Amino acid sequence: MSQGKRVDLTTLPPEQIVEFNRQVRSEISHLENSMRALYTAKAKFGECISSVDKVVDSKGQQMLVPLTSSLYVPGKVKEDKKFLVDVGTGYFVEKDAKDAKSFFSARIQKLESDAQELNKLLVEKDQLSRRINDILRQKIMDQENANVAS
Amino acid sequence: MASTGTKIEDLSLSLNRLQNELQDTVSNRQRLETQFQENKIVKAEFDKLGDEAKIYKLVGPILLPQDNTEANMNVDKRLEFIEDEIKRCEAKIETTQTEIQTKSMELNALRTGVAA
Repeated sequence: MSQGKRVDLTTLPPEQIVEFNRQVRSEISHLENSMRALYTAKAKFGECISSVDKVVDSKGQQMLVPLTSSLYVPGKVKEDKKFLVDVGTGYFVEKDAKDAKSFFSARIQKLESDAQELNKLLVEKDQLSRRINDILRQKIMDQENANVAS
Repeated sequence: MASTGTKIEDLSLSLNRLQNELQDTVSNRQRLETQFQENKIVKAEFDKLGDEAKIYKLVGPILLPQDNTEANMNVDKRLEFIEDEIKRCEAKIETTQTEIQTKSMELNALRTGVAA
């Protein structure tokens, strides 16, 4: 497919059809993994937005700060207007609550459109796999009929 | 005919090696693409910032304040570097692919010769 070469599947021997279907299946599972990764990332950004909402305008509020996942120390919110946002590759940028939230929503939107693209591709591949299966079944039936006839 | 047999063996061995190489370069190419995209996002984010915006860089477990222009330059340089790497990678993918094609054609010719 990717070589732009058109081959009529019905002319191929069953072994090659099976092999081709296996290839398509592995592509599908790869795409499904990417899809899951997108969803986890989206959930993470959503959490960031709600965290900003929780901290903004809460000066002096007490909270427990995790030093490790199993050690917390009590702390107080000292700065409730500025947030350090991870923009990627180790860089952090200071933003106010509004900008921080819009940054995260933009990220979520991007992920959503990516997920839509991915989904389209997945549906396509799934249909392809189903068609291959149909052809394979037809082939096997033809072969059996030929065997009975002879 | 022993020589054709060893030739076939040699060829399929090197073909295998080439295919592994191709796989490595392709995954390398994918990794570079991810890095490229990430850096592009960072660049776009930097471009939106005002001059007074504070930028920090994560070094190990600590955040170091960074100069605005310096950070910008760093990202630009990184993008350039990654672009070059991608070009190199693609050239390598192409040469390996053509090599694989010629080798497999040779191999097929030898095999049909044996069968005939």
